Amino acid sequence: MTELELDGLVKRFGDVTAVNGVSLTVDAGSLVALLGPSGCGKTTSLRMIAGLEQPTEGDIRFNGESVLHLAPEKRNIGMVFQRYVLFPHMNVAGNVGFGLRMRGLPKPVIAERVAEVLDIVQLGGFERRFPSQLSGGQQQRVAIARTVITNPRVMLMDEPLSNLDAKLREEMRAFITELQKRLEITTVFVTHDQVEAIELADQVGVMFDGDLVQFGTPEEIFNHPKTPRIADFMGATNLISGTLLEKGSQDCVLESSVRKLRIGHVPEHAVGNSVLATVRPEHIDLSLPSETGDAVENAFKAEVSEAVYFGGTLSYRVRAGDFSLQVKDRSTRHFAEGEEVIVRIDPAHLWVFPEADTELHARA
Amino acid sequence: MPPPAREGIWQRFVKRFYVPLMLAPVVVIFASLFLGALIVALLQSFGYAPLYNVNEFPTLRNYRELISQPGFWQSVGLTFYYAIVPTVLGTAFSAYLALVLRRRFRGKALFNYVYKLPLMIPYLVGVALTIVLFANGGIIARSLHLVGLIESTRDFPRILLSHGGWGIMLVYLWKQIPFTTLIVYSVLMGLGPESEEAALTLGASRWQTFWHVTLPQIMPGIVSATIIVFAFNFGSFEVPFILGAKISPFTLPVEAWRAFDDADYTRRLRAMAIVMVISLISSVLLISYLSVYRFYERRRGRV
Ligand SMILES: Nc1ncnc2c1ncn2[C@@H]1O[C@H](COP(=O)(O)OP(=O)(O)OP(=O)(O)O)[C@@H](O)[C@H]1O
Ligand SMILES: [Mg+2]
Repeated sequence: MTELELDGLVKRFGDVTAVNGVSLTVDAGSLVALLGPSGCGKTTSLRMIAGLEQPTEGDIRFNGESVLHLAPEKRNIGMVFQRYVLFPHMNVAGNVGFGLRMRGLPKPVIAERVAEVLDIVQLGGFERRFPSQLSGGQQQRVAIARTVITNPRVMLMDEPLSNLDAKLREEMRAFITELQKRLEITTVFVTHDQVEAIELADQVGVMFDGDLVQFGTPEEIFNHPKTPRIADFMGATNLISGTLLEKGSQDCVLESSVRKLRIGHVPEHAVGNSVLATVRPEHIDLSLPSETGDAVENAFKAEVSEAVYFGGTLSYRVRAGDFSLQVKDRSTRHFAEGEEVIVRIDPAHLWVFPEADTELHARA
Repeated sequence: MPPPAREGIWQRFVKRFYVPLMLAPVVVIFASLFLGALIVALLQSFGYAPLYNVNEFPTLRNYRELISQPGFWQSVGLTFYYAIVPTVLGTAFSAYLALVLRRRFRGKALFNYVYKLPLMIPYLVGVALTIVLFANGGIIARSLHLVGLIESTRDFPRILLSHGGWGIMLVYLWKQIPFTTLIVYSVLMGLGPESEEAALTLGASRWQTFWHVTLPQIMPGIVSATIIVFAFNFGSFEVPFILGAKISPFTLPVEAWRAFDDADYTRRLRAMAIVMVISLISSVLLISYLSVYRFYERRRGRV
């Protein structure tokens, strides 16, 4: 198995800095998702690992050895492209066996391996079909089969699911996770879909504008985003600004415009600093004033300003003072617009950002 | 609701014959110019030429005499030689050029423009250029003599007016390399670099990538270009007429012209027989070439 290391990777195209100093380590046999909005440099990073693009600065190492001097065909990587890029003039067997043919393996061996791999991707019997005779999902599986057959040291996948419909995407996601665990191939998976990243990856790297802004487990990124912008990208849109009032050994208190909030962790910031905190919409509890008084810890009165039914849950916007919070309530209760409610936030779910990024700070 | 309007005869007629009607202008021009000429030539070659007071229709005499004429098969061979060699050389070179043109290099914009120039210049200019450069009294021969590489300009190899025909083929290449390059280059651009990149990441060397991935995908462009180029070379008249050897054998089109230009009008029937032979050989060859290619494509799942 191969450990992949990116060390200060920079790529400039003339004036454009596509990748701006990315450093991370992909543990042998694990799957790292590179997550970020369009144009943040994900594809460029992959292309540098593949050898299709030469980095302007930095190093790429497989098991500690630099591969920069190696041409793409010498790196023994597998790349799955966003648009599959199957060879249109070869049938499925031809496509899947391509890598082995180029390595000069004997025909019977190739045929055997092709059958084996097609079995793994559940396309046994499709050998004679041509790419134009396959569905999107089938083409994608051929593309994956074509890369895994050569036993690549590192597998690179560039938004492999973005061309598939929602249902197929979920199937393929499960399929890729399963396959990657089974074959234990070190994998870098590029996506702009946070759900995909969280579900697939052992570790997630978030990229904005060529920078790797956070690298950690999905749990860390999801619950403890470094900056408001990352939180926003991960779907945590609630921002609470205030002053850090006191720090205990396990918790801290934030003085906000609506009320004092206890927060279940100790941030680095000094007492007296103004800070930003967040809470995910699904971690806010709503109840009726008759049920819960606002004397309860981290609870305050608010008004429902908007109620939308969305994807199996009710989504609310509630206002209290200058707070405007988004709430996803999974209970069967229904609050009406204009109704007065009690908002309660569990201290364990409040998170003070360790860093700020300027533009969203201004919005808060 | 109002009843559906009855379609008039005219509407139904237009609906039914829409495509033929749309094609009609082209078909009329095509038929009168091309088919008309072909039929006249065909009739004359079989002995029907009231214009020259000849009417032996139908007779195979013109063909029989043509084939038994000494040097006929040499003519056929020579015509093939001048047609095939530049087609093959030119296609190989053009494919290479198109691949190079994809890269970035200094002066690419200028080169991209300049290489197409011969496309806009008549063949005759190419012929003149070749004479100025490659004749035994031409610029190259004189320069070589000047620097003392050859003793006399007569030692310069005969490129023009010889059966080797390198002057003829140079003119063809001069004109046709830009043409084939342009076609192959467009196909390459449409293809994009991705399938080649996929091949590289799968461990194919640059050479393997070219043979197994690039070439098969640019084949349609190469086939169309070679068909056009070959057909032109096979039927070309003025280039071998001016630059070819002035003794027999001549290429078929030159033979046809010599027969046509004869003081004896009846020899024009022989000229028409030659024209028919040229057309026949050309079409049989191109049709078989195309069907071989289609067979190859079908085996690969296309078409
Ligand atoms: N060959 C190139 N020449 C110039 N600029 C480039 C080139 N390739 C990429 N870029 C620029 O670099 C930046 C990053 O591009 P990249 O393709 O890596 O983005 P991405 O994260 O993959 O985006 P997407 O999610 O849309 O695929 C973009 O601003 C892009 O315009
Ligand atoms: Mg991309």
